[in-house]
Amino acid sequence: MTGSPVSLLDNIRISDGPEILRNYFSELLHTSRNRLPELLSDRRLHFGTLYLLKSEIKSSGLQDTLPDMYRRALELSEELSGTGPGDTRPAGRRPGARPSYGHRAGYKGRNIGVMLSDAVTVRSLGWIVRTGWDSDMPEGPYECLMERCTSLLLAHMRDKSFLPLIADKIFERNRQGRLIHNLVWAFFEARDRESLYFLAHRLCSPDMRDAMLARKLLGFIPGTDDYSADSHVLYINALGWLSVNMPFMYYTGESLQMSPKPVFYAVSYEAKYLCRKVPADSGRPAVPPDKHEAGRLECFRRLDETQRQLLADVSYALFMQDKRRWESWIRLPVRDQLESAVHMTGGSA
Amino acid sequence: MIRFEDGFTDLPSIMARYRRGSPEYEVLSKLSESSRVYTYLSPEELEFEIGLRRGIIEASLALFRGRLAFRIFQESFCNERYWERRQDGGFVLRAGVRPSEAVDDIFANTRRYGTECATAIVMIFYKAVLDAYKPDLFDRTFTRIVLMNWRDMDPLIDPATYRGLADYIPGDCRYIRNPDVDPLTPEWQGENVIDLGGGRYYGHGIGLGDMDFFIEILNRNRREGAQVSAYLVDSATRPDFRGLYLYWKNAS
Repeated sequence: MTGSPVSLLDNIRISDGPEILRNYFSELLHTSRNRLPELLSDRRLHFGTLYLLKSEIKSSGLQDTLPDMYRRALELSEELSGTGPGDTRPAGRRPGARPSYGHRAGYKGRNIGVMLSDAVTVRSLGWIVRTGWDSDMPEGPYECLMERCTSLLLAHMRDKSFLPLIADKIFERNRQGRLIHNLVWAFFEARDRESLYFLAHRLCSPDMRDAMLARKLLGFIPGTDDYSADSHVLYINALGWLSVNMPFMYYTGESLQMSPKPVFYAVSYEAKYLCRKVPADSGRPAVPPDKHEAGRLECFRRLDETQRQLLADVSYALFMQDKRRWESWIRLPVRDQLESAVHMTGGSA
Repeated sequence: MIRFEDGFTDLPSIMARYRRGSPEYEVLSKLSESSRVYTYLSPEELEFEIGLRRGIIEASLALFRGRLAFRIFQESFCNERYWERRQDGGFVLRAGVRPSEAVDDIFANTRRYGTECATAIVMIFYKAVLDAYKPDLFDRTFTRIVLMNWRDMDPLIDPATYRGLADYIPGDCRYIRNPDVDPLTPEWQGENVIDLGGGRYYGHGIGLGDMDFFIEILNRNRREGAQVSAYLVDSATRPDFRGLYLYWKNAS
């Protein structure tokens, strides 16, 4: 069984489909039951196969022979598939408040913190997400389960190690015309600015569907809406823009659900002006500005948006070139800073 | 304030056509009392926009009354006579079907449809445009309709999100974000709502109510130990009122 990158059961599922897989499994149950624990313990096994065989494994009592991680994955597939009603009870006795029709259904009620304090559960979730997004798997409940597992890892645990994989899956599913909204949401909820590079390199993808989606997801980068631009030039410009603005970018919480053109990240021009890094979560520096900085910010906030952006750009450029010069510049009155900024940028204000 | 490019100045005569307390009157009051200048080509354009906003409100109430079901994309459903369900859970107009009949069917046979909140807003926008354009023009104009969140909307409707606006007015689509949503129920990550005027909103899957009502419902669907409340985002998503008006005017 070693040597092949695919386990035998996965191979049957991928080449012949779920029904043949189940038939093969049932046949083995009657003819060579002893082989099944070995096949089900294969470390190359994908979650999708285990999921499709769930009923057969349970009814034959084989779940106890599974490795801990796989057994827990099967348990999770049941725990996370529940569809109790979401809470849409009327909000108290407020005027106008009344119950809705068409209640939302949805999973609710599990204590996630307790669930994720278990190491086997976390390992199982990781295995589910790493191996479970196979494109031959059915949609519907399976897809919901995969979305939930991915959300737990990205939106709740913010495990950045899954971001490259999920970026791949987003683009792959988009090419297949499959649902991506909740995956995109989970991807951004990880609040990892560096992960934007996984999207950026698709700007110059030869596949138009990838390039268009990358433009949409990175719509906050100037130039991504210029469809006449050469894709490689756009890509290079996007990389440059990201590297300059990365320390000052923060997640806005916008989503494909909220807007036709969501702005997923924004730049804190106040932070860039003061050359103070901000967390991706809030866009506000961890340490509040001191008295002098607060005074500068007060004047800065009175400027219009174009002026604020100009000052922020010039301030950070100066900071990176010559910190001493920047220290004198930042003490100038804002009017003088603006004048020098216009001069430095060739009068582009 | 409201300014007309054709030189018209008699705004009170327009306001007199609407009942005090009506959404139309509220729109006109907010625009005319604003410190921002709203420029219209003519009174006709203003009245077209007001009519469309009224249509958005009426369509919202119709979906509420018709009990449109809330379904996540994986479980969405539609009347297959008019619409084809796509792999991603969206609906596409069937070939050979009159677009106006297909849109009207959503509001006549609402219980045969189930989707999530952004797609409900898209349905509302199409219905409002249908009521403004009337079936013949609508059928000639919108030959391909996709109902799937904000994705693939007709470029003529071209909804855009405006952030940090000076004024929010009835007929606007607002968004309530739920930052501490339970990650297992991303469908509660936020709610698109239509401003019905008078401080009331419609949000598909929740219902009708004031802003506190919606925030309270979203807050009940947060993760354990959540600290951050759901909140109304400082933005509004609006169809391209001017583009729709100009097309209508030229086609009429």
